[in-house]
Amino acid sequence: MFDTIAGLPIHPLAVHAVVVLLPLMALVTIAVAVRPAWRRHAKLVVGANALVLVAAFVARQSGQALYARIGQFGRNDLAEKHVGYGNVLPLFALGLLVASGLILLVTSRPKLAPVVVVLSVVAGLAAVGWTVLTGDSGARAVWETVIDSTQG
Amino acid sequence: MFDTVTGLPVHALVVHAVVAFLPLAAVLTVAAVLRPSWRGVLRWVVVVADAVVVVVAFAAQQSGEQLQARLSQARGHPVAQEHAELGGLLPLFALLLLAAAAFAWFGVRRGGVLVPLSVAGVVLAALASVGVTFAVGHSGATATWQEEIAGTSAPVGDADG
Repeated sequence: MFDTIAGLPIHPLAVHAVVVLLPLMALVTIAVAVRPAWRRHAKLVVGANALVLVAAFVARQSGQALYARIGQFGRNDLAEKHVGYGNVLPLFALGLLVASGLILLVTSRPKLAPVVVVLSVVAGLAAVGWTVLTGDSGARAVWETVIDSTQG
Repeated sequence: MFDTVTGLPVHALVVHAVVAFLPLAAVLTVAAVLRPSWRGVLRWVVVVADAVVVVVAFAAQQSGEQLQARLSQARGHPVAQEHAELGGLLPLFALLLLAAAAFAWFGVRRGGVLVPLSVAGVVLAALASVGVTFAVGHSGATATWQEEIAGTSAPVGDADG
């Protein structure tokens, strides 16, 4: 179900959403955790982070389908490395979702605020970092050979 | 400056921004002009968002030409010509969206016949720019992936391949 759509792989479509929305929501999650006045919007952030988790899951599943196709051409070390990063990415999206859930909790239990702020910042930065590693390794798997063998 | 970054094509990175932000900015622009209580947002968020989209669309077009030149070099024949033609139009449609939003900025304040004109302009520009983005993205994905998909079979357990 995650293999192709209209004769093209779902993966390169799904990753657009992850690449843009995950770092964006990581920043939003951190901002909402850090600014007490913005914490009343935590519900919206939880909803958006849930969507990001779905996008990350779709990217992972469609990535495995595409990897299975590419494997038919032979072993591909760059793609293998990318799969290693991508398989774990949904967990970082889940971390972001959990952090926003905790921010929601802070609105009724203000004592938790310092812990939740730290957790949110860590979850947000980790998610952005992992997205960069995953995206970079994926782009390398697709493009590095072409770039290395041509002149700009 | 639009060719590569850390040994990878700039195009592959920049298109993420266009694919995600152009439709998002288009929806935002329509929402802002349709809801009277949101029209204050037109002045800031929307016009700035639409301007950012013009910049990323231009960067995608420029970097796309560079990548097309490299791929044509590697294959020994011109590649992705349909995608390049459509992609060349994209900055113009992004500009159209920005122009419609800027017109609406004045239009909804002046009132009268300018209000429905602003709404119509924004809705048309939004539909057109999202439609072109869809066509550009699809032709680009086709240029990159079609052969690879046609040359392989669906993974076991995936019925719809």
